[in-house]
Parts: sequence; structure tokens; C-alpha cells
Amino acid sequence: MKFKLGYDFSSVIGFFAGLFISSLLVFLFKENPAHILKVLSGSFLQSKFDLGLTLFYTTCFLFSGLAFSIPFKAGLFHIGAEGQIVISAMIAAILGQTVFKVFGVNTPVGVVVGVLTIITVTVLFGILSAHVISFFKVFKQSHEVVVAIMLNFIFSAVSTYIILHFFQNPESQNPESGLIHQAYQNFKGDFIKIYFDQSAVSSFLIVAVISSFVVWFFENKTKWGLELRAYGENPQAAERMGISKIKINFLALGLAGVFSAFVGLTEVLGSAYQFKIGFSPSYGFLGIVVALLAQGHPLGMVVSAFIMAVLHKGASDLDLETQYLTRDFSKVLQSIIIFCVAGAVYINYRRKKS
Amino acid sequence: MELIEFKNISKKFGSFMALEKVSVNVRRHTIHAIIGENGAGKSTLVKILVGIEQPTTGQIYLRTELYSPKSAQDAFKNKIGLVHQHFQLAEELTGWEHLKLVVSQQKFDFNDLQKRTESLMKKFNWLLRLEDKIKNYSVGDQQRLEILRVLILEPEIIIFDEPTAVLSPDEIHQFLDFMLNLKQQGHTLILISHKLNEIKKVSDDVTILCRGELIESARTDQLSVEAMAEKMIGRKQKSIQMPDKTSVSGINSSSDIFLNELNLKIHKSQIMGVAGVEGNGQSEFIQKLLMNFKTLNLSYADISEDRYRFSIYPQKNLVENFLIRHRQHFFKNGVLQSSQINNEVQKIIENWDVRPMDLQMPIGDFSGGNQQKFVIGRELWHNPDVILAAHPCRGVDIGAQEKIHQALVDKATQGHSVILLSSDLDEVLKLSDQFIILFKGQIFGPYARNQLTTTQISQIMNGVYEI
Repeated sequence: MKFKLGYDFSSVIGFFAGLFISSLLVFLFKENPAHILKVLSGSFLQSKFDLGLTLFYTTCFLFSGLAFSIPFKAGLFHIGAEGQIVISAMIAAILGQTVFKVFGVNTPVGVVVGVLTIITVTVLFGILSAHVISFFKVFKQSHEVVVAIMLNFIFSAVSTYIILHFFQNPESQNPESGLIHQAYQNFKGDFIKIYFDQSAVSSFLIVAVISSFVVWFFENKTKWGLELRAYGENPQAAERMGISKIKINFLALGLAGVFSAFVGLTEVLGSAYQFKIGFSPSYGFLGIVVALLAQGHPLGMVVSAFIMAVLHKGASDLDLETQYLTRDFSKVLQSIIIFCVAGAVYINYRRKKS
Repeated sequence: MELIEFKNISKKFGSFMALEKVSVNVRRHTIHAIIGENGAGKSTLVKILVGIEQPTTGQIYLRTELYSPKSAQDAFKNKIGLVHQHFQLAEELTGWEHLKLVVSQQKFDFNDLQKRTESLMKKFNWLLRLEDKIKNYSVGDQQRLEILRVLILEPEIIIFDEPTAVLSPDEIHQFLDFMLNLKQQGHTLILISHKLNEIKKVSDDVTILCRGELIESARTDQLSVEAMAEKMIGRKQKSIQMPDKTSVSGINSSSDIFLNELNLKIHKSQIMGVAGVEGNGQSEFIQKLLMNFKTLNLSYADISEDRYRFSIYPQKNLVENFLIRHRQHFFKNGVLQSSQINNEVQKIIENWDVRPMDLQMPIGDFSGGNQQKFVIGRELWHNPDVILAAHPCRGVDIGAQEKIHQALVDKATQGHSVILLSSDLDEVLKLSDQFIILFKGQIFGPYARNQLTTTQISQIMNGVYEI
């Protein structure tokens, strides 16, 4: 196949427009935009530890970006990743405190089986929680956005309830679960973590990057991937050509569920070793920006996830480095960028259509 | 005396010349036909006249005054009315509510509206049930309502865009009389069509456009139908090579395919025509047909009735559009295998002369005719047992039409079954060995090609004929 630069730059333009508008806002707050930009973009380079933290965010953003982009190609606007992330993180934390009773931790085999069980069951829960959306979409004709938004709240409430009532960490006054069993904290010893001075990043980074290659292969070289994209573009034609609506809905959201679950796993197995209520700085929603910035290209998302991670990391330094701004400003900034990117893509889409 | 004068009208869309220095005069109290193939610029010319598009260069003189409409409202004010090809009716409203809605923009007294409507209906002897919802109207009645919508605003000039496309032969006959009637009452009509026989019958002047250029503008009686066709496509029409049916051997009833769902038998090596006015159960017919093909496990071609809705993925390129349709041939264990796909697609576009010959271009960027040619090539690629061709020539020019018809006939000769569904009765009668007629979801027939007269067919199509 001949190479063609099929990228249209509307999302990049939107991204810079967002940065520009935020800079104006910064100016209003009597801060120097150049300084803010320097803080935002430079903070990840301060130390190996900072870079590790940034790469941890990259991992989470990449997974959640994939969780958005796959259903998006099937014509579904999936904003339920947040709920799936929370519920699967909760499952992982609970399993981490319980399954060792079944498999034991005295032998390496027991530990490996335990970890694999945690991963498998968590992913299954991710899939199931996403399939709730598919179910209502396919069999009850509900709109996926409405169902997903409501599920985000429901899952968040359910997990808070379960953790606080049954798994609260007795040694802490923070709302969080106990730590998973010592033996399952084996990502502490992984070479990436050690290289980055025990920062939050872990081998899940590699899993995430490999995932984006796998997703690229799935979308372009497999039958199901092709069917999924075809359905997303013209559902009526797809159904006429024998592509099942039910299959595509469950497939697309199921895959989204898998990647949402991996965000939860990255947090619980790879970094915090427990479930902290409110741990997610809305990874599920930031994934939308990541996906849109890369226009859904799985490999492009590796880059856009890193860019968002750099901004996210930089935002946490705003408190220290500025006089008038707090880290909350980063939310404003992210919202403006989301708004501008989505807006630019949408305008371009409309322009192309007419 | 000239009512409308187009002077050197040109219209450019990007680098594409839709109209190039077209000058036409429309005489008062005449029926002026504008003919041409798809993309010849007929619609663009009309859009310029009613203010939907503005010309790139050139002027229009209306009643000898310069006239440059900026919107459809300007056309209204200048007493120009347009009857759309695709009815723009609010189906959930009653006819009466719809008319009120239309005039609500025009500072119009409702009593006045009632009077005008009644007098118009009386004048043309129409019996429209204005209290009924529009969706319950027949297609002919919907068209009458659409015309009424235009007439109550008392236009002097009325433009009809392909008015007979959806009508049965009988209704067409009535409609032509109606146009002559309008002319007598002092209106000037502009008629856009590609049905040359009708134009020959009613029009006074005819303007022929080809690829945006004016070929000829003349009195209708100076041109024969054949001459018009020749000028329209720029060459002589080819006739279709029909097979010599007597020499085809091996037609036996054991090779027939019986379709349970439709209670219909189709024969190998034959074209089965499906006639009927649109909206008489065609889509249900197609659905059942496809379902039946699937249950019988036949390989089939599906040249769908609506290309944009059912046949293409506009943003995907030709290769992907091909691959999705024939995915069972190119995947092993769900993974893409063959490197032959590009060659296969290349063959299709060479064979069908799809332009431009760019495999990587999104199909939505091709013109409608080229899209259709690609779709047909794609559907016939796997040499299917049965071929469903629904309106196969909709939106393609005469050259491609000949090619498509020839391909269908050839396929039938090679022993495949073809089902040709079309709202164009001439097309059905020309190609099919036998045909059925759809009326309100019921199937009438099958009839042999010459079994019925056009009048009889028309009666069945309108539900008047009892068998």
C-alpha cells in the first residue's frame, strides 16, 4: 500500500488554540503565560522520578484513549470508561486482599496464578461493566451516552460503598482499601520501576504500548476490526452486508471494557497497591482528548497520551511555581483544550461533509 | 417575447465547470424543456434561477430587467415557483396544515387561502383530501399537493424538476395534460426531464445541455426524439445485444429457484422484472428477497435501491469498500491474508471505467455515476448465482446505463438469475423475460414480456385492474 499522509491537522490546531486561550486566561490572572507554559511542559524533566510519574499517566491515558477510540470507530460515543475504571480498580483491590487465601503465596506458582487471576477477573469485570451499556443500547434502544453517564455515577457510588463498609484500610483515616497482599506487589521489583527510582510507572507502560500496536493490527488487518469500522461509518449498509449490530456493539464496548480494566490494574497492581477513593483524575474523560488528538490512530495515541501526561504532570507543579494559580487551574486548562480539540475536529467534520 | 433571458451564465464549483457560457431564452406562455444527462448542469441552471446558487459570471434578465436573486424568497417575489423532484412535504401534518405552514411566511389571509385552494382544485378537477395526513396520500396526490403549494402563491413561472419520475404511466398521461392546461391559463413552464417522449409531446422549446455546455436551444418540432438523444449524449445510442433465446439450451424447471417468503419462482438464465410505483412495498420485497437468498445459501449480488444508505462507506477507499463486501474471501482465521485485493479492485475499475482510477481515494469523493459503476462491478465480482439489481441505473448517464443493461443481459445469458427492480417501466419492459408488478405490497404476475398492454400494466400499478 502506498504511503499517504492522511492526517488532518484540525485536532493539532485545536490543541494549540486551546493552549493560546489558556495563556490569555493566565495573563488575566497576572501571571506570565510563558512561565506557566514552561512549568507545564518542563516539569516532567526535573528528575527520573518525575519522568516516571509522567509515564505512569501516559500509561493510563493510553489505555483510556483506546477505551474511547475503539467504540468511537463503531459509531459509539463511549464516555463510560470512568465508571469501568473505578469498578475494575475496586475488583482488583478486593481480589488482591483475598485470592491469596485460595492460591497461597508460598510458591512462585501460587503467586503467578494469583496475579493472573486478579488480572483475568478484573478484565472480565471491565468487559461486563461495559456490556451493561451495550445491553441497554441494543435491547432497550437507550442512547449509549445517557446510560454511560448514569453508570459512571452508579459504579462510583457502589465501589465507594463496598470499600468503605467492607474493605476500609484499618490503619488509615483516608477513604481507601487495605493494601493488596505483599506477594502481589511484585511490580515493585520490575525493571522500569527500579530505573525510575520507584516512581509510579510500571511494566504496564509496555503493555499499553503493545496494546496500541495490537489495536492497530486489529482495526486494519482483521475481519472483526474491518466490520467494526464499517459499521461505525454506515450501520445500515453494514447490516445489509451481514454485519450484526449486536455483535459490533458488544465487541466494541467489550474491548473498551478491557482497556478500562487495564487502567484500574495499572493503578492497583502497578502503583498504589490499594484502591483509593477518587484516585482517578477522570482518566476516562481525558482518554477522549487523547483519542481525538490522535484522531483515533492507535499509534498516534502513544504520542498524544504522552503530551497529555506532560501537561497533567506539569499542572501539579502549578501550586509551587506560581503566585496566584493553584493546581485546580489545570482542570480549567484541560477543559479548554478538550473543548478546542473537540470543537476543531467537529467543525472540520462538518466542513468536509458539506 | 422573451420572459427570461440567461446571458452567458457560467458556474464554477472549485475547478469544476458546472455551466459554461450558457445563454437561453424562455418565451412567455410556453413550455420550455431543459434536457441533459446527469451532471449536464440542468439543476444548476434552475438553482441559479430560483436564487439557491449565484452564477460565477453572466446575468439573467427577467421581463427585460436585470434579475439577480440572492435567495428563494427573491424568486417568490418575482413570481417564480419550483416544484421539487423530491417532495418537500411534512408527512405528519394534514394537507391543509401543510399549506398553512407554507403560506405563514407570506402574509397571507387564511380565508383567502381557503378560497384560492378551492378554486384551484375546482379548476383542475382535483379531489385532494386536505384533512388527511400527508403520509396517507398516494404518490400522485402528494405531487398534486406539492404543486398546489406552489400554485397558491400565484407564480407566473413554474419550474418542474423531473415531475414524472415517480408516476405511473397513467398518471404521467394526466400530468402532461395538466401541464398543457397550465400553459393555456397563462403560466410559463420550465420542465426538467430526461424522458424525451414526454418532452416531445408537451414542450414548445427545448434546450439541450451536455457537460455544462449549451448544445442547442430550438423549437421542439424541429427536433426528432432520436436527434435529441444523440445531442444529449454526444453520440449515437447503442442498442443492447439481446441474446437469441431460442438458442439457449438447458432451461429446465429443476434449476429454478423457489422463494418461499415471496411465493415466487425465478428461473435461471432469465431476467425477472419488478415494476411498480415507488412506495408500494418495494423495500419489503427486497428485504424478503435477501432473507430468502440467505436461507437458500445462494451467493448473490446486491445492487441496492439506495446506494448511499446500503452500498457504500463514503469515507473508506475503494479497496476497503470492496473488502467489506467480500470479506469472507480474504480473511483466514479472521486475519487479512491475500495480497491480491488491490489487483482485483484494479480489475473492477478498469473493467467498469471508474474514474479517477485511484484505489486509495474515498468512494464518497467519486461522482455518483462512478460510485454506481464501482458498486455494480463489486457486486458482480464473485460471479453470484442470483443478482438483485434495484434501480441499477439511477443517477448514471446514458453511456453507463447501456453498459449496466448489457452486463445484466450478459449475466442472464451466462445462466444466472437476475431480478431487476425499477420504477422505470420502460427499463423493466425492455430487459426482462418476465415481470411482476407490485401494488400495495401485493405481487401481481408473473407476466410474460408481451402479455399485457401498457394500459393494463398501468391499471395494475394503480390497483384499478381486476384479474
